[in-house]
Amino acid sequence: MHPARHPSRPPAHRAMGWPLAVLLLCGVGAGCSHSGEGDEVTQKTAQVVAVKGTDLHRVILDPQAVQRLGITTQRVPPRTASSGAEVISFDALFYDDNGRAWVYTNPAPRTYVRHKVLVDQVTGDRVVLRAALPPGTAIVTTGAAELRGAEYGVGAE
Amino acid sequence: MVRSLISASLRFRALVLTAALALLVIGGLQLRSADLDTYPQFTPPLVQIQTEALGLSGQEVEQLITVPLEDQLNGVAWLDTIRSKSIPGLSSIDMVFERGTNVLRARQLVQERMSQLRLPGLGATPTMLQPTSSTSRLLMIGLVSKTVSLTDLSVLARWKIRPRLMGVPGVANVSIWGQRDRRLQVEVDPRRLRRAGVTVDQVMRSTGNALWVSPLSYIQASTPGTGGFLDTPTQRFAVQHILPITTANGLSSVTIEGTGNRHVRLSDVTNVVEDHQPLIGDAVVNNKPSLLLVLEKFPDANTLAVTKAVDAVLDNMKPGLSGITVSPNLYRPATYVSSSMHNLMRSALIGSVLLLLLLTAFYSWRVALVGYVAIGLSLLVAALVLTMRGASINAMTVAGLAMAVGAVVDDAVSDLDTIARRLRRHRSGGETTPAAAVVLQATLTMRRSMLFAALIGVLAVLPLLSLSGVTGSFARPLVVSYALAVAASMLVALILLPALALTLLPSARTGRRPLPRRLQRWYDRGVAPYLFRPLWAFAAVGVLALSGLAVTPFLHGAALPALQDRSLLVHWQAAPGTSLPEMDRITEAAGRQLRTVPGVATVGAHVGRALTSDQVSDVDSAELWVTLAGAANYDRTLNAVRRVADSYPGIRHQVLTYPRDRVQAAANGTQDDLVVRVYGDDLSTLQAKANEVRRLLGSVRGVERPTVENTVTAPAMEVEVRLAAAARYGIKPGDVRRAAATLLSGTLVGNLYEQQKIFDVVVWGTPAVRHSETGVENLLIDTPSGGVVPLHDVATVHIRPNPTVIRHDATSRSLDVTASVHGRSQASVAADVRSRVRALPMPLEYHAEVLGDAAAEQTTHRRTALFALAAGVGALLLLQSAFASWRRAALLLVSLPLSLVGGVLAIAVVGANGSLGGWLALLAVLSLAVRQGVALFAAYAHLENQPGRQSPADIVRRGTRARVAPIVLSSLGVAALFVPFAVSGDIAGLEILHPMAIAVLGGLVTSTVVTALVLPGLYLRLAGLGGQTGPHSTEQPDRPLTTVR
Repeated sequence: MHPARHPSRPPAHRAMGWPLAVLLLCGVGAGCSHSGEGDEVTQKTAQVVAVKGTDLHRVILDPQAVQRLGITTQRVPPRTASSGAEVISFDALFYDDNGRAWVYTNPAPRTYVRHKVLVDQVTGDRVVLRAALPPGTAIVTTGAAELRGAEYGVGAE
Repeated sequence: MVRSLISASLRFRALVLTAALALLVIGGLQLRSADLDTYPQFTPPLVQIQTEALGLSGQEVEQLITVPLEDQLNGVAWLDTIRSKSIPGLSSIDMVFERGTNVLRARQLVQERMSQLRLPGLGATPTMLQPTSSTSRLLMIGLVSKTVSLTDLSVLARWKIRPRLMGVPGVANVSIWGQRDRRLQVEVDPRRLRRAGVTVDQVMRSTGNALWVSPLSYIQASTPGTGGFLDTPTQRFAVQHILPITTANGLSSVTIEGTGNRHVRLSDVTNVVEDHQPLIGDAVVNNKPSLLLVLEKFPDANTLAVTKAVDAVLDNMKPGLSGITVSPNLYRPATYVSSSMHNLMRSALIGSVLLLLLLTAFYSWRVALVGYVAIGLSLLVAALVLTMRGASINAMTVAGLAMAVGAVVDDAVSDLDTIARRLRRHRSGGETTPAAAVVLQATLTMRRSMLFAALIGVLAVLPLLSLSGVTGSFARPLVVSYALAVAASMLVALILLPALALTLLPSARTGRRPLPRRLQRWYDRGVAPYLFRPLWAFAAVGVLALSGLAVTPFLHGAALPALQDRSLLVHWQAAPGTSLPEMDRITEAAGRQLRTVPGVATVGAHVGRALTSDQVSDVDSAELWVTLAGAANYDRTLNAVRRVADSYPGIRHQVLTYPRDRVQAAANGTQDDLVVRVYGDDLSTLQAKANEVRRLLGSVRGVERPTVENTVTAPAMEVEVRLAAAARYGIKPGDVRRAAATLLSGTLVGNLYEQQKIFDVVVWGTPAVRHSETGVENLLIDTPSGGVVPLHDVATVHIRPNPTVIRHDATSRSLDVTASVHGRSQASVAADVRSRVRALPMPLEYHAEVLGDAAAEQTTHRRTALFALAAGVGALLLLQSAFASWRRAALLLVSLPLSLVGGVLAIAVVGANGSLGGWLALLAVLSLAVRQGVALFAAYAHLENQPGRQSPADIVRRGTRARVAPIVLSSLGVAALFVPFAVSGDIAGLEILHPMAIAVLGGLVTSTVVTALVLPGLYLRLAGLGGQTGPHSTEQPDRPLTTVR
């Protein structure tokens, strides 16, 4: 005789392994909110070094970063007796949270440091300062916003 | 009852077959128009209310718009949470309803509340946004032109293109980035006015009264009057007035009221220009400033169909858009969806061909056809039921169907094997019973357990249904499609399979294909003798268990895989407070750089936000949408794009795909172990209290790294009137505000109507007057005595930090303190913190709450684990009642993890990205392994109950040999269906199925080995055979095996 088909076919052909379900749910629960792709980055191509004794920082950019951000600078013209008040471009000016006015100076190649300025008034695109900047200083006229982001970090909103 | 069902289907088999054929055809057609999407709906029912108030600061938006609105809307039925964001110029309120709420009813209730609300006269109307799907963006269209100006393009987009697109069924919303509304501006310089002896008020009145209608309630134009009509004795004439002012020129010649005989005209003292409104956002497409239209879809819209309809509409409009380049390819999820479908169908087709060949090789082409139809119909019916319920076919439902493949294939194969074998025996034995009776009996013996099986199937997947939140939204379609497929295969096996088999099989020629017979012979000679050595089974168990345990540290939790979507989204966030021109510049530069990356086809960017858009952000935030060319290498291009984004310091960025972005946004807020939310009004007090809470948390055992949420601030100019100084001039604070408002923000004084379009006319300050702090300080305010006073004499202008986004939760400002929990259970830490926080002194109207999210998550996990445990116990009980033996039930249950070891090894191999597919594969293999194991045990039980003397070894040997062919065949059948997916690689649409296939193949190897080679040995040793067989229970020496077919 050969084994015929069985009369009482047991029912449990879909019994789930409970260890599996637990593992699955733990995994799915942990996983769905996890981002494997592209985690947020603020900067990889800039270094921020604190300047001792002040709350300023030196922002040092890679050469590629300078070119990508399109940073342009302008030299403050040397003062002469008849120059009158110091005038800089409005593009270079920015304010911090408490209303103090700053510009970014460029003391060394690809290095940028904030410098406080006192604004007398703004006319058109010229800013008249109350106190002069050291002659020959290069100030950043394009890209100050990005340098600010690099120095302070950009928070998640 | 089952018997009568099967016999009825056998009797009316012609009808059944016709119905099945009809179902196949209709189902196939129906599925072609099914709603295909990437992910299921994973957001809870949501109603969004946005109120635009251009020119208001964030705090004023909050005070004047958000607070009254929230007060009015709070407490609506079924409301779960009410959250809001107030940013400069926009108030956005999100009302999240409990899961399962009917969105339309919720919207109705909200609308009723809103209609009772009156906002102060800011001209702001709260708008309820259209309901959109979870991944709402359907299409992004760029409009660029060299010949048409952006303002004219905006007019075209707003008045012609947008209405046509909104008329396409399925399109919920069209928002236009970079929209520049043409308007006439009367630009005043207070100094110039002063010199001419004219006040700003005079200019406003004159401009307003020059037009037909004005919103200024205090001038005559607020009541325009009608033209009227006159009746002559014979005719009636309507009188219509034609406004002669259509351009700036026309407006400049208007005389100013109150200037008497001097007849000063507007152009004498002001600049009348055509310009556009201050922008809240902008768009850059392919390096040029342009317009970007973003289309969003309704929750149940069919992506492919609606995209096609929109394409058709754009085609129709093309003749009227000469000189304008329309780029509908900036973001097209339809491309991903259709290529996913294409890949899926292709692999499924190849798999089904392989399955057909396999079945033909094992039996005959007729059997193959029957099996193929049964399997296909089961899956088709499941998919059909899903679409009829209104669900979409998405990655999760497809994964669920794939999980059920093991059960579906085994259903068909085991039934067919039994039926075919009995029919052959019936034929060769020359019995007199009709073939129908044979088929009926064969099906009955297989299906008698149907009810039990369905119960266990439901029981088994119940634990996953108890997951909540975003995870739950993903798990539910998975479970539903799996259960439907299993149920469908059950019905098909009961109704269709016998009918088909009876029609096709009896007339087949006798003789069995050599393959199954060869298999059995190999089993007899090659394997069986070794099987019953005692060491073999336990050694195998040991090896499997150890390898499984060894791999456990390398396993990853199940996470959604990265999509092979050829559209990338780059979040682009600059320092808070960055201006629009600067943002335009840097975004354009980044876009230009990205276009030079080989493999990138198009780059479209939008900055800030647009009216009724899905972005609630200021202009310091942008998004770049990068589309990759079809032939480009995905990973290489993605990495290149990432490198370009990384090369811009000072910008916070993230590169991901849009569906992933939406899932991230939906899941946000449930990632921290412990969250204490401090509610209050004043931000500095909130900050102080939050710091106190942080210090308190630091002292609680088990809490690590408590951090106060960062409040992002940007500098804002605050103008505060000095009351004493103002009183000296007779000026009130409101006067200063209104005067400054006109000069800095502009005042709408009237409208121009032109060919069904409406344009604004505003009085504004000249650009020179409103471009710096100095300009603000020097604004001239008219005094009641007729003079002017500069603003800085009556008010002070400070620059102070303002939060860029003011968030409310449950109508109150709040600040979160988050922490992680280690070393103690989250629930006990939460209880501890709750009691301590309650004891913390708080000023009036402030309070702190421990958010229930984390504890709730744990409860959910615990609940799901309990469900799973209950399911396991239920399965054990059912197995026990089936075998009438605890030992055998336990043996089978314990052997199941061993069967899965191959799959577990595969999970470790596929890595984190394929982890979800891997875990789902284990479920698929498990269902198959249990069925095969149970069938095997049942074969033994049947042999035991037969009269005659048999040794236990004999029973096991014969039983196994009888089952070895179906076991191997169903395993091979499942493998055949999955092989094309394993080979295809990680391509669009197969991100889950590809690792799943690899894990299934690995699991099938071990499960077949365990079922066919290890279980028999274990059964012999452990299942308590011997002494329990038939009436003559004596030990027999090994006999030569009888021939079996």
